[in-house]
Amino acid sequence: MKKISLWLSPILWGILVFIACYPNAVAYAQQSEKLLVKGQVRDNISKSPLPSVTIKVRGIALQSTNEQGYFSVRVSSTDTLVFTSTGYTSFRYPLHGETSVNIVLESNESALDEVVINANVNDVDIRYPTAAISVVKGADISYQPIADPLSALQGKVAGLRVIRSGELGAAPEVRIRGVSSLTRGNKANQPLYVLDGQIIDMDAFLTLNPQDIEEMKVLKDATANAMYGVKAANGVIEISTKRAKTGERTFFYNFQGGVTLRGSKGLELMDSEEKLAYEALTQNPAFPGYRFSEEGVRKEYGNASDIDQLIAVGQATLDSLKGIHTDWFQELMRRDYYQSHQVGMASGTDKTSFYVALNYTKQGGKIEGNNLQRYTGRFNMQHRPTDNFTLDLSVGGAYSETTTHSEGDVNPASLIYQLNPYETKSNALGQPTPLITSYRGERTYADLIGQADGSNRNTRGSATVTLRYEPWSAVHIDVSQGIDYVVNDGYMRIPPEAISQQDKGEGKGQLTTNKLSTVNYSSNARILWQKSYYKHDFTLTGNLDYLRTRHHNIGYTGFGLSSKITSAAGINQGLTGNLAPTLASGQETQAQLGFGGAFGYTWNKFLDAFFNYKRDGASILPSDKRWNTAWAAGVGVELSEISELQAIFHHPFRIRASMGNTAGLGAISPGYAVAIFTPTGQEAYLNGRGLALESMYNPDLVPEQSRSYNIGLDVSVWNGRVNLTADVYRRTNSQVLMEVPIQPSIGFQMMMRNVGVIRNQGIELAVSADVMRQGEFRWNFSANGAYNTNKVLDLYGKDKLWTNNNASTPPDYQVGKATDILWGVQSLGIHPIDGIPRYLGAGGIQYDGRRPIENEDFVAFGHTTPPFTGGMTQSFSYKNINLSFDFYYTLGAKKSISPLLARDAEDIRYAQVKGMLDQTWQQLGDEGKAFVNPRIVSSNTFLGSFIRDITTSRTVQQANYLRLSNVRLSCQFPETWLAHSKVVKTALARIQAQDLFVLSSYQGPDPESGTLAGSLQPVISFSLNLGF
Amino acid sequence: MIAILKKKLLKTLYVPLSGLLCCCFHACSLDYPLEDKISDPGAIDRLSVARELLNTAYLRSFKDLSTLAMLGDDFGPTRYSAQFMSSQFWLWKPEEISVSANNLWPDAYQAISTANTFLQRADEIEVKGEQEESELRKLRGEALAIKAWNYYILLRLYAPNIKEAPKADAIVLRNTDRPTQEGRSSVEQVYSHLDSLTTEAATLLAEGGTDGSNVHGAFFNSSAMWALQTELAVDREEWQDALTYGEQLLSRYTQLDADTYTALWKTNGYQSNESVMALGTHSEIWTTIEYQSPLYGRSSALNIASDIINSYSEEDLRRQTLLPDTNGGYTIGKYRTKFFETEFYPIHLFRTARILLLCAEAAYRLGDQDKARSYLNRLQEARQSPLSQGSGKTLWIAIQAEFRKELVGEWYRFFDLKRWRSELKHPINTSGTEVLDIQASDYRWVWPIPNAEIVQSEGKIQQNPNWIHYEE
Repeated sequence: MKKISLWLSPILWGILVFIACYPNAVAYAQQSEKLLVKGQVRDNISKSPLPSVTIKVRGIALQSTNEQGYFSVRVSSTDTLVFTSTGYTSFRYPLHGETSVNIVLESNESALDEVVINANVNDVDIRYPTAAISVVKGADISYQPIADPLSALQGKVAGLRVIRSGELGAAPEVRIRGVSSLTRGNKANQPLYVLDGQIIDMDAFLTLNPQDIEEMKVLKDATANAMYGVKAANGVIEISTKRAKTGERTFFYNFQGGVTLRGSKGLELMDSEEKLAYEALTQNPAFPGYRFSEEGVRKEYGNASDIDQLIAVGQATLDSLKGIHTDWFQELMRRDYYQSHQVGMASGTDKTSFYVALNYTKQGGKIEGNNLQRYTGRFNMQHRPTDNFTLDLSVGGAYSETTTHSEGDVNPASLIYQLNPYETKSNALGQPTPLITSYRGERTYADLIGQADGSNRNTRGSATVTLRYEPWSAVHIDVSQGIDYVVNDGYMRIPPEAISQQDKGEGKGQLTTNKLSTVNYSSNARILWQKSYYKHDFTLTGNLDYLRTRHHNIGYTGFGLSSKITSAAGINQGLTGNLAPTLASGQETQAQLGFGGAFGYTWNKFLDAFFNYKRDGASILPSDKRWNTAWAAGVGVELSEISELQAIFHHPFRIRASMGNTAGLGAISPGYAVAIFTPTGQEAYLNGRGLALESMYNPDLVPEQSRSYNIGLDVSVWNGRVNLTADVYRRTNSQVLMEVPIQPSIGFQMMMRNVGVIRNQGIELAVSADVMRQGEFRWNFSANGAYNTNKVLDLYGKDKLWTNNNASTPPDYQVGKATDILWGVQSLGIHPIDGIPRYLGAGGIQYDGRRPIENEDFVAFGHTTPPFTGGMTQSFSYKNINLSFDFYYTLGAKKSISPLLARDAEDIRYAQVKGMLDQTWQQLGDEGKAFVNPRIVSSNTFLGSFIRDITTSRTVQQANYLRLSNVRLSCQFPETWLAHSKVVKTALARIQAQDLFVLSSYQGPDPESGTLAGSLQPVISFSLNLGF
Repeated sequence: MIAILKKKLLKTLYVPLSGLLCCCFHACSLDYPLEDKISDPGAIDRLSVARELLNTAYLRSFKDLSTLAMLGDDFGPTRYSAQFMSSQFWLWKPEEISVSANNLWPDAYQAISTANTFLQRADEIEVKGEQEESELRKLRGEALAIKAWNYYILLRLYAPNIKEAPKADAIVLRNTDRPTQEGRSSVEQVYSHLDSLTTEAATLLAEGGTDGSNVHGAFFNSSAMWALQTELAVDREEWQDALTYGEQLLSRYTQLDADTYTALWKTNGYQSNESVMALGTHSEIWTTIEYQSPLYGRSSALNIASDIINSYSEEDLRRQTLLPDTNGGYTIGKYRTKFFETEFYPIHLFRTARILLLCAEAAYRLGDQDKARSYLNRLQEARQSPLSQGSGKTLWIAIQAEFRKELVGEWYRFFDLKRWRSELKHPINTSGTEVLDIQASDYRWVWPIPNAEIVQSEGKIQQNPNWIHYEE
């Protein structure tokens, strides 16, 4: 006995230690029935992985599958897993101890009657079979560290071009399928934006959080846009915010934080030595490069006795200046931070679901004082008390604030290209040094900064209620009402100490404030009737929509500010004359009403037809032009549903065609068609009010008409692993509106006229492919590309049209040519004898820049808008780790960099482009030079302006670029790691870099925005998405 | 059974139907008139609104003094003249004249167009009672006067003298505000149109018994029309008519002394009894010749020509309009009393002194030297300047000198030199070695028509001789 006990005690101790030291083991032992079960869920036909499939056990939702369809849950070995997803029949899988399962779900056709996720009443199913619609999931844009969702769309959709300006808080330009209006600017060319069924303004995007977005649909052709009528002449972007799915219950916290970098310098500038030598060429003593040179000293002092000593002093000064190498790009651009916090909850049952999210984002800008801050909140709720009645409530609120210190000519962005490399911010002792040449009057650097202080605040609240009711199975009634309230506060203060204010006497300093409040009320009611007889399915729908917008704007400008008080209390209201405070105000209410009807027909499940008619009225139009029509018709054939062809086409293969006609009102404003008189505001004649005709009106004005055709193909091959969409389209705009010049003796310089016919046509391709699946390794990519050209077809009796009055330059629009041609002259360089540039004119004649160029001398260099655009995403996954790249590119555009390079004599005092000195003609016999001597330019003003304004073969460049817009490495934490924490259910960590670099042969600054300070700022960030 | 179904139907449809009705109710009307603006038809339907329209026409009428004054010999150089950019205009550089010509033409035509807009709608204005009808007639008169004034300025700038080239192309005459394509009328056609405009305007403006008193102010009145008629007659060298109009005016505007002269150059200058009519303006006058000197601060790049200054006697009242400059010379003190001015000053279009001088000229041309001398002396006496005694050529030189002394820095000099077919000669650097010499036959006495007008007329309008198109 004793022997056994001696043996037993260490064993017993061992067991005890084991039990004590390995509590997991104990826990594990207690849960010995629990298993980790992993697997993937797929669609049974296309075999593509299904994300967002809910896995429930005993009624409790445990998890949803991730983007690649994978799940991993900890369950009992004998539990039954229930897989549910919208559009699929639920699947029950009883476990028998296996740890790896592969599930396929069958799609459920009658799922169309199930819970409709979005609140958009116009999102009817009959439009899809014949329409060109591209869908971008929220997950495809929410990872980017960009504040506004529109900018994040660039490169994701074929035919959609988002041109970012690089300035924080500025709205991008969005164009779908090229530009069809001759009136430039957003109002006439931008698509219609719809948020949860409510029409919103472009500026709403700054207050919309990309992480709240479920999906964005880009509607491109006539049948897609038909429901919206006349407002959708340029396309539509529909945005739906998130709603919780049935069975989902998660709390989430998403964090993203990173660094915003400076971006790349646009142009390389001269270093001190080169700049000083260049200044010497001007022989102008105002510039130190000449003043301290030997020649300059001799000219100034001539016969002074100590001339040699003065020359030596001058040389020493020059040498010390050459030793200064200030890089103003580094000094004035800065790095800053990006951070975003999102917290929220999504919870859904069969009857009710909530999605609540709060977000704070802060993005720092490149320039000191320029940054963006935003708070948003969203509450979306869906309630289904009965199967045939759904109530959807969507409430959002936001506050965003953008600050800037750039106003007028003296701002950090332009200073980079103005300040000389030998000028400094301060000397070695930290005292401010005067700037020698770039700013006259002994200014120091400190005087140039902080010249203005501005901010722009948006406060927004919106609510939309949508009711969907199905009184009996064939009829649906949907009603949506929404209200949107925005207040925009603008503020700009130029302090009294600023340079620009120094000669204003009593009125130093300027403060401008503006408050614009907009209330939008929109309502949309739709009734839909569906019936099936044998193989025929009919759908008939009618709707009534109404939108009323009310703007109210009030602002003031005052002068004579206090240097200590920054609010309006600091304004000197006692000033008179042109420094007296002034008031700006505006008030406007306008309404739009539309009636529409649509008819859809399907035969034997494979042939679809669609027809839509909409009549829209707008209150801003004069009563005889108030009502306009839009109609569309489409046809589609699904070859895989035709029983005879199913041997060949066993995967989805749809051919569709559509055509439509709509009026376009974007460029019209009331003052163009009838006489509108406005008060002249500040301008009073003595004390008498003034009233003036707003613009020369044209009673013959008619709205634009747009006729479009589209043929498309939606194909799925190789077992659903590759999906391809192709579209060919043509859009003809007639009665195109444009402001054309008229005789000034009429009293106005421009008048709006219907000038002609423009045609846009192109091809779009989008492909997404699940290329490789080897074990745990996946490679998929998606790419899209578009080709677009335009042409002027007719100018109503004229052959050419100029928008300026300079008939000696090429016409802006010419029948048979594109609308965006870049004209210029062929440069032959600088003539070695006289230093004047030579150009190649018509007929091979050489001429110099001193005589005005004629029309025939101009050569077309190419297009300013790129014909080829597109983007691509490459995604590589191995188990839970994913590496993805986003690119976008444009090809075929040309841009001119002449305004950036050419300077006239006055501008020599600013920094110049590197390498100009060697390329400048200096004396008789210099061959092969490209730039005129600044001395010659200053003595001949005509030549100077010619060089500054003209585009030549030397200044035109290819503006092709390929931008790596995002590269990201993410890791979805596996279940095992999270098991320790009872709190965290899912976790995703990601490192990414946004707008890291651009591949381009363009030698100017950013080829995308074309402006000097416009290069997009790179952002490197880390994010952590946690689900509880 | 059916009743139950009906009830069920109504119950189920109640919610959506009321929703639809809600929409329909809201969606009744699209009549949302503009709140910040007034739109046709019927925009100009009452006198107060018409008055506002005419106020704008006044605002847009030509009043850019400093432009025209720089083209004469009123100004001489300072040490900064070479450096400041606007001296290019003073030096008669064609590119600079082109820029001013391109700006002035559309502005003047805006005023004309606004007057036409009013005249077209004048019939729609509701008037009740005799007084309102009379008011409306006066407004019509004002509109015609505004047109006459602007046409006059355009004519004198963009066309040659009537005596030299009566059939030459002058300016575009417009009678409606509709955007029709028009060509230029000839010089004599414009003068005869101006005749009818001024006569009709003078009659209409004489409403309400304002005729017979010396009215002055900032709005056109019948006296202003007579003053304009005097100018027109002098241009056409119809000296007797000029004397008739001039004397008619002088019989009303009798006061001419130190007080009235000083009052001319104040912010309410149009109330001076010497002023027949002045245009109010909010523009900053004389800023184009201001120069910020690093050493001396605010200074003028151009000073009053020294020979004018030297020609003033010690007690001459006109010395009070000489503003001492920081560089030792004098700059124009009319319309401002300090370099940085925030007050608004009216610009006199017609004033007694000018009428006197024009009468002196007319009398001289008719051969009545005594009469001419009496007008001249009347002005000289009022200005405390020594009286001229000469006759013949001496008298004519004295009259011309008095034109210059009296009207220095105002807008008349260019027109006077043009109609006298004088040579323009003045130094352009401080040492006097360089001189600007413009002959009477120089093409730049006639300004270039803006390129936009020529291009948009599609061949109906040709450019004035010798002018080429300069890029803006």
